Amino acid sequence: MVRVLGSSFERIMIRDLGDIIYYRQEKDYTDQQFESSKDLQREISKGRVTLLKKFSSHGNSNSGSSPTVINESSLNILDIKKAVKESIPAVDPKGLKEAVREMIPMIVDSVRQEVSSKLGNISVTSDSTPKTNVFRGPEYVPDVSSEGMVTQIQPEEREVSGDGIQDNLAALRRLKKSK
Amino acid sequence: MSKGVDIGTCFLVCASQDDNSKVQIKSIRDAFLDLENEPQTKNMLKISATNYIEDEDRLYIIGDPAVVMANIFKREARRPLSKGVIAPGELDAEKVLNVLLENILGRAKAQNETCFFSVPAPSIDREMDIIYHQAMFSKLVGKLGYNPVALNEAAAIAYSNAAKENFSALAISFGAGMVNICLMYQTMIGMAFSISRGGDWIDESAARSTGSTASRSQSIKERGVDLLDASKGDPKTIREREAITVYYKSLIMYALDSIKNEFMKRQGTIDLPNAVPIILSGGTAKAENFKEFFEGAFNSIKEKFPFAISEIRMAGDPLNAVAQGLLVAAMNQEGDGVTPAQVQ
Repeated sequence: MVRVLGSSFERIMIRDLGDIIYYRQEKDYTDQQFESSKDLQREISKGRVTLLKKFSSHGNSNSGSSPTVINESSLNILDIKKAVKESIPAVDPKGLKEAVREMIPMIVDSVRQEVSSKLGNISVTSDSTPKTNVFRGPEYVPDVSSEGMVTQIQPEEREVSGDGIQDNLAALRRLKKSK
Repeated sequence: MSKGVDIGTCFLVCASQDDNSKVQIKSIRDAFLDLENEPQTKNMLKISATNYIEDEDRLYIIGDPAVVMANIFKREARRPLSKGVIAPGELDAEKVLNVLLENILGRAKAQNETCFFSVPAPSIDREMDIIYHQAMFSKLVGKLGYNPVALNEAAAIAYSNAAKENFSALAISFGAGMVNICLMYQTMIGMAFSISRGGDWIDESAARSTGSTASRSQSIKERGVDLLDASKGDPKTIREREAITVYYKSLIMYALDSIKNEFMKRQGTIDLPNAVPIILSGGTAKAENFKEFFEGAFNSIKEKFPFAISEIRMAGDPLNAVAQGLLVAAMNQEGDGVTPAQVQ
C-alpha cells in the first residue's frame, strides 16, 4: 500500500481511480491501484501529490490489518512495552513514585538537550544580521510547479551605481569590527 | 553573486551587483488578470509584447498591463500577495509568483549563492500568517538554487540608507499592502511591527467614498497626487485626489500613533542614546510632497513622541531601497563566509 498527501490547493482528480485528493488530505491506495493509476503517477511527478510512505500489508490488503511501515525503522509497540516493563525493577508503588520523582530532573534535562539539539540552528538574538543555518520551508509547504507554462515576460531593468551599496557594505563591516 | 529580492504586495524588485560593481535592478508589478486562452487573444498579446503566462486553458496578463486592462474592463486586477503576505484563497497566486520570481531572480549561477528576501514584521492590528508566507518564499527562492534568507523589510531600508548613522534609524516602509516599521540601533532591531493599512487601503477607502473602483483610485494616485495641493492635476478627478489626500493623512497619523504606542509598551527595554532619523520609503511614499506632508503630521504630535528624532528624510530610492538593503545584507553575509541564515 502507499500513502499519499495532497500538496496542491486545487483538488486533484484521480480520474482512473474515480477519486479526488484534497489539499493536505492523506489517502491510502493499494499497490495495484498505485501502479495502475496513470493519473496518480502523473500528479506525483508534477508535485501536486506527495508520496508519503510505502507499506507492506499483512496478507490481503483488504483484511483491515494495520500496515507496517517498511521504509522507516520501526518497532512494535508491544515490544517497546515489554522492554520498558523488563527494564523497570519490581518495586512497590510508593517506591516507584519516589523513583519517578528522582528521575524527573534527568528527564527534563534530556528533553531539554533533545530540544536544543533540534533547535541548534536557531539562535535567539535581536541582531538583525542573520547568523545561522538556512531556514527552509517545512516539507509540507506545497510544491509549486510552473512546468508547462509558457511565458512572455520582460521585467523592467535598470542599472544604478554600485557606490552606495559598497559604501554601506564598508560601513557595515566597520561597525561589525568595532563591536 | 549575492542577490536581494523585495517581495512586495505591489512589486517584486530584485537587486544584484555585476562584475563591474554596477547594481542591476529588475522589477515587475505583481498583478495579473486572467483571460480565456484563445488564439486571437494570445496573438494580440504576442504582437503587443505584453507580459503574459499561458497555462493550459488560461492566459494571465502580468504586470502593469493587467492593471490597465482591469481598468478598461472595470475589473479588479488580481494580486498574488494581499496585505503583504501570500493571498489566501488565491489559487493561482503561487504559480504566478513562481514564474515571476524565476524571471526577475534567475537561477543561481554558483553553489551557495545567497539571496535575501524581504518579509513583513508581525502585524499589530491583524491576524496574519507570516510563517507560511516565509516558508513558501524560502522554498520558492531555494528552488532556484539560492540559499534563501529572510530579513525584515523595514530593517533592509536601514541597511541601504542609514550607514552614516551606523545603521540606527526608524525606518518606515509605506507599501501597498501594509506599513512596515523598524526601529534599528546599530543593526540591532529594537522594535519591528507592521500595520495592515497601506496604499491599497488608501485606494479602497478613496474609491468607497467617491463611488469608484480601487483600480481607478490606484491609477489616479500613481499618475501623481500632490499631497499639499490636491487641486493640481486633471479637474475631472479632483474629488478622487482630495479623497486620496484625506486617507494619506489618516494613514500617516495611524502609523505615528502606532509607533508611539508600541514604543511605550516596550519602554524600559529600549534606550536610545542618540536621536535617530526617520527614513521614509516604499511605493506609497512616492506621492508628491510626501515628506513635507509627513513632517506636518509628525510636528502635530512631536511633543508627545517618545524618542528623539534627528531628521525626517526620504530613502535615496524609495521603490528599490528594500531590495538594495537586502543586497547589502546578502553581500555582507557572503563576504563573511558564514552559512546563511536565520530569519528575523
